[in-house]
Amino acid sequence: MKLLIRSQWRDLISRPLVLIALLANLVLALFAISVVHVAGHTLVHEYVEGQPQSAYQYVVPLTDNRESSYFTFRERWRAGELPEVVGMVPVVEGNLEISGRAIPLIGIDLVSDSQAMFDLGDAQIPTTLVTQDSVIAFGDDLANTSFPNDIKVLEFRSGEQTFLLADIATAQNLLGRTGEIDAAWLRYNRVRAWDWMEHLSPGITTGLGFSRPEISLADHNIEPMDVWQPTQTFVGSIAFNMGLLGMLAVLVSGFIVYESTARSIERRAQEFDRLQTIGVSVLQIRSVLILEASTLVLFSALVAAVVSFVFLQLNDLIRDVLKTPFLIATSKGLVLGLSTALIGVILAFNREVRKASWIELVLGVVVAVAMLCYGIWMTTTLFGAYVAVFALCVLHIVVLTPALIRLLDALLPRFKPKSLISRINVRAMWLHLKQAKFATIAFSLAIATAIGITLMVSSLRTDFFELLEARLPSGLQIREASNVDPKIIRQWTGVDEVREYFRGEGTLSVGKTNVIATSIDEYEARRYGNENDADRVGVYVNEKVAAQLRANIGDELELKLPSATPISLPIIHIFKSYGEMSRVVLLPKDQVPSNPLVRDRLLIVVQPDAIASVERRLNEKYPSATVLSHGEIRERAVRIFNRTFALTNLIALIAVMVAVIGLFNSALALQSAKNAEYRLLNTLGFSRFALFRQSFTQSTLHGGVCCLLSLPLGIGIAWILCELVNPRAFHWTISLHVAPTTLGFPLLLGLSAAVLASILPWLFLSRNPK
Amino acid sequence: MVIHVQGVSKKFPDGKGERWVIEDVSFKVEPHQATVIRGPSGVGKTTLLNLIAGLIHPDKGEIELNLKDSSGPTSLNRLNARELLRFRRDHIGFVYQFFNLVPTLTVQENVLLPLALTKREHLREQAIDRLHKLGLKSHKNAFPAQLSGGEQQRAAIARAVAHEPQFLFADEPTGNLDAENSAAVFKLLWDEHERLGTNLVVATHSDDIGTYATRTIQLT
Repeated sequence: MKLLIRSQWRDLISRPLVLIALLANLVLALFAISVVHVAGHTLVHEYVEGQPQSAYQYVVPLTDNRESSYFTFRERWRAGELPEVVGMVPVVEGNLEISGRAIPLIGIDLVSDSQAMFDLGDAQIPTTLVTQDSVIAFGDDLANTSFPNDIKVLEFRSGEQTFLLADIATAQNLLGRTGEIDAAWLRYNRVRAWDWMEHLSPGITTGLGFSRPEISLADHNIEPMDVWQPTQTFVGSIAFNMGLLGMLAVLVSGFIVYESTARSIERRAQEFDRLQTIGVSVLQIRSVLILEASTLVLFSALVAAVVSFVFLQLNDLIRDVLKTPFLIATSKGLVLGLSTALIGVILAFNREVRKASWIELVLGVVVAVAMLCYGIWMTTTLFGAYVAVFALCVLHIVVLTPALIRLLDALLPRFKPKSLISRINVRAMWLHLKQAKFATIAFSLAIATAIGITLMVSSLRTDFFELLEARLPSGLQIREASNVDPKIIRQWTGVDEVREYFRGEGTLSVGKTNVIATSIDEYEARRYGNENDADRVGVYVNEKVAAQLRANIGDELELKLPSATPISLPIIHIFKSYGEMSRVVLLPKDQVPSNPLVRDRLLIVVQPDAIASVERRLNEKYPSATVLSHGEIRERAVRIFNRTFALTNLIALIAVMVAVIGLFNSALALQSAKNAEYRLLNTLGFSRFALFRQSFTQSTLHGGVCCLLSLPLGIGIAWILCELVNPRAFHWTISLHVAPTTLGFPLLLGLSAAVLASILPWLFLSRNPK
Repeated sequence: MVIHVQGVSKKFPDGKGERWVIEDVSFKVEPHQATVIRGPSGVGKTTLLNLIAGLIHPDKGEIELNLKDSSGPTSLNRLNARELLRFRRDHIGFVYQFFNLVPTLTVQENVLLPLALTKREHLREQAIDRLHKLGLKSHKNAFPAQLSGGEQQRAAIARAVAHEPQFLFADEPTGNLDAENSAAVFKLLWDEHERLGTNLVVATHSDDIGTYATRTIQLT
């Protein structure tokens, strides 16, 4: 056994390029897994776990807002109804106007559920909050805010979410809602079996659509907290999407390990036969190969851990080396890498023994089609959407790729270009395609994913930019605008109109919603894309509200604003709100009976040539207000858009890189046969340049076929991303735009990568053929 | 004299140092001779053949080949890479022990490849006829991998002489064949040498060529 291991080791180091490529492959895949896991965990932690409601699983809205209703409910619970609930807190919520902004304030009765473990960042909630009539300010952007004298800030805590937390009595006083309670948050006694999975893969419970078992109580509407609080599902969906994308790199890597091992076994078939004739068992040979793969994965995991740690440090995603998520991420990468590599090795070893029969293939197709149908029509979960993507990939592997190879098998003997050189090129491409089938599949999967993501992002970009164009016509916005007098600005030269926007929070039957009140006239209708129906009186809702309420245009919307009688108005328009985590309702200002909202924003319609002068005057007159031109806001939005998809693009690029290295590896393995052919052609009179041209042409043809192969799958993935993933994850509808220019980039990237991967071995080895 | 090898030496890297594979070899070959280069394994037969065919350059010495219609001998040492390539393409046919045929071309296409490269399409019919005479008519549309070793070598010879080169070099052409096929291949080489009047140089350790050889160079 020792000698076998030594022999295997010498074989490995005798091919340094193959070894380096394989290691690079594994390192990249494991790096993707680690980064995606930590990024997903950080996202969930910052947006969800830092919220006070993260300790509670259900919410009971109190429709009359009376304290007595809460106590009645609490008494029923104490009497033994709802035995699954082990704790509850009454909550009041609203907005405070601070420096012209509406800042959410959450008031909780901190003593009513003393066992609650609020995970709010660095420390528990201090008890002084109960006694000192003060608030804790959360959110990085509140650190420099000047608070009015009646709001005592006990401490500032950093975080992505901006809100204030207070004891319920303090909150009621600050909101002017003495004696009112909005809801009761309930703590459930059972830990879900799936909760531990969230540690293994952030966002998985959202993706799988797991919901806590329904609990009910007569006369009360009990809602799951993640439905009530849409941020949770939003970030969970992002984490789930990223996690699956990270898995892609490992999947592609698995194909590469398989291909590489199969090549090695093929190359050394005679040697292994000889070994068996002298008494070495198949198990021993297989063990050596498994040992080799495991060592490579272990070494790669170590390198990947270091690389990902540095990357995460540089991107400020992790600050402490011993952070649990990083350790889980590294272990997860290691386990996945080992499993993938071992499966790859075992399958590669058994490849010659048995091939899939027709029945198995047909069965595979039937199962894939069933999965596709399930994912598209029979479920509304994000997981279902990815089942559909997986089914498409299976169909790509078991139907499309073999069908293309068979088609080429049938067509190529008939296809006879006049030039013999062209015949060599076409047939060599075909041979390469067959010999490196798994590298080709891995490559086409990666390119298809890149195509899918590029098409989806570009479609979203098109729709988002159209939305920005409509939503932000030429003009200026003033934020923190409570002290700005619109009457004065209306007098200024170049100002056509000053529009006022009031913001706050309201409650729908499905949970809290952001509310914007303004004058809904022709101008506003145009901004929200409702030019044809501008005269009707009613509310506009974003797609999230419409989807969660299952409401259509014409349906009545019941909205409750703090300290106001419920409003009931028909929905007259459903608008897109890309990037918005929350529900949004746009109300006509004249339909809001009292004024529980904060006028925090003004939109100034300015003649284009007067924008600069009006902006200057505004800054001079209202130095504390934030004045932004719509052009600036658009630029910011575009920057955020690009930043949002930077990690997605990075992971897709890693998958492509893994696949490219795989192609390089297979081209390297096939190069020895190629070298003999090139030596012959050189003898026949081919110059080095002519041989390079041959190799280049063959690589380009192979890359072209790979790209062509990945095109249907890429468009299929893009369709699922636009039609299923985005609506299910974020309630955004995106129209898929398949523009040739958009397809061009990933195709060109794929083609160049394939050519490079195939030509490099030639360049390396043709200098020193063996 | 059609081949003149004068004081030729060639070295190759060997581990950390270098090793002279052939040293100070000189000989002449007269027109239409069938020359055999003999010697034990590792003595440098293949290296010498590659040197004469212009596939590698000597470190010392000079190699001259005399073409039928030229005014004087062509020194391979003085040809640049492009000229050497053209010379090889136009005037030399080569048969290896293994891998003589382009795997992605059919047998007939392999035979026609030198004609396409040298633009001697007028020899097409003769080349195809030769292929048929060699018993490969039924295999003309087969790919090399579908042929036996003997059939592949026959096709290789048909390919090597298709453009009727003045020099035909063969490096252990029967090294991979049984006795029957070996004899057939040597006869074939001899027949083509006779018919076309080419200058045949074969590197081999087989004795079967002995009956055909008009000149033997023994490397020790």
